[in-house]
Amino acid sequence: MKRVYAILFFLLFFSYPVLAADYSATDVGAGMVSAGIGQFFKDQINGMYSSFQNNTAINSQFGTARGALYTVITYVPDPYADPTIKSIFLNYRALSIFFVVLFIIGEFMNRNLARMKVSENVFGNRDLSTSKFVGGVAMCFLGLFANFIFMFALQVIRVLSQFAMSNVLDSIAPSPDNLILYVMMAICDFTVFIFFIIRFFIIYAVAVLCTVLAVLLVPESSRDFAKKSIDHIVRILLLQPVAIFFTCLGILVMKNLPVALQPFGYIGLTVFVFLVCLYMLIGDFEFIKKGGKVLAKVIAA
Amino acid sequence: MSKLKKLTWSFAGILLTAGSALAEGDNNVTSNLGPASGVAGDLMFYLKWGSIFVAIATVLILWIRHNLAAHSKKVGDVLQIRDDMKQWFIMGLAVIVSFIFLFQYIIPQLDKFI
Repeated sequence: MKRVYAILFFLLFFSYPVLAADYSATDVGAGMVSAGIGQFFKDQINGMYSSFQNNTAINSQFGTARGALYTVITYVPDPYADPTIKSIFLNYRALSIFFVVLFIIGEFMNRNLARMKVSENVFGNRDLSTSKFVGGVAMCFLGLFANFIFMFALQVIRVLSQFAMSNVLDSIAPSPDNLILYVMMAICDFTVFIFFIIRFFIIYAVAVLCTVLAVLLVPESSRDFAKKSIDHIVRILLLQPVAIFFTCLGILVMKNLPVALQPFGYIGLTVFVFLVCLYMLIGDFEFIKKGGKVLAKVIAA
Repeated sequence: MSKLKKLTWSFAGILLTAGSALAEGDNNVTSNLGPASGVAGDLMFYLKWGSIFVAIATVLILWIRHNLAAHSKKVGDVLQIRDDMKQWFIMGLAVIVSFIFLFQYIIPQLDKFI
């Protein structure tokens, strides 16, 4: 009987390590599967940006994944690199030169009519100072160089976007810890993608029409339209750095949240970034401008 | 060389340059407008000659008003019309210089950068 107990004890004692080993094997397998699933999703998300892995400076410092993200998120198109756009732009530039010539001749004729004092009843009194005419012509000539100003604006937007993004590169390392971040940011990117597509089209449209818009600033009748158009264009250009700024700020803030709450935080951030993009695209900026003017007056006083 | 000769030569030079600039400009401005070239060409033609007609008419009217004011001894009106004549001349010169600058300098510079 003692022998039976001894054998049973022996079997029980030695089955524990076996059971423990089995359990450990299951755990390792589960870990491998989990890591594999994680890696799969990470690869899928990274794959979206893989064609943008050409930023050597960022690649060497932060690796290709972050380099690709950095390039795709701060991407600003160069419309004049496309020969078709360049050719359409030249056609519209010819139109703006035509407007400039019309303005000079028309202004000359109009001023002469006013000087004869035979058209006052129809057109009213005009400011006939030469400086005003020279100013108008100078503005027209400046308007013909609007594409250079637009290119410069695009460069500024690119730098602003890169500046906003560079502050967060340390916090978005492609590690299993940041899996939620990557998944949620991919969802965020898809959500606000429509704004960036609209922005992309508008950048190309403005690249073609910028000289015409700038020339339309000169005559009083079209100045209001041109100003409003330029206002909207500036807002659409600023959409990218502003959206990146708020996203980066959100990511940095989200690091302080408990892990369980982070997905909800990212959903909130996605909604917020969507609203920011919507506001930049179609929002009313009048009260911001009025606030700015009041602030300027307060500072000046 | 007398001052008058210098002035005449300078003015002739400006007009010749303006003539060549405008001739070049006519081709540059209206030929690249595709389907709108015909309309734009017609508009430019009538506007150009219309402005010249108005400019000449202005000088004539100002001259007549000047003589009438001088005849009726309205010193203020005479001075005002003289100033208008001066402004007319400056304006004409400014238009010519603008066209020279546009077609001889700005457009070639723009073409270089594209």
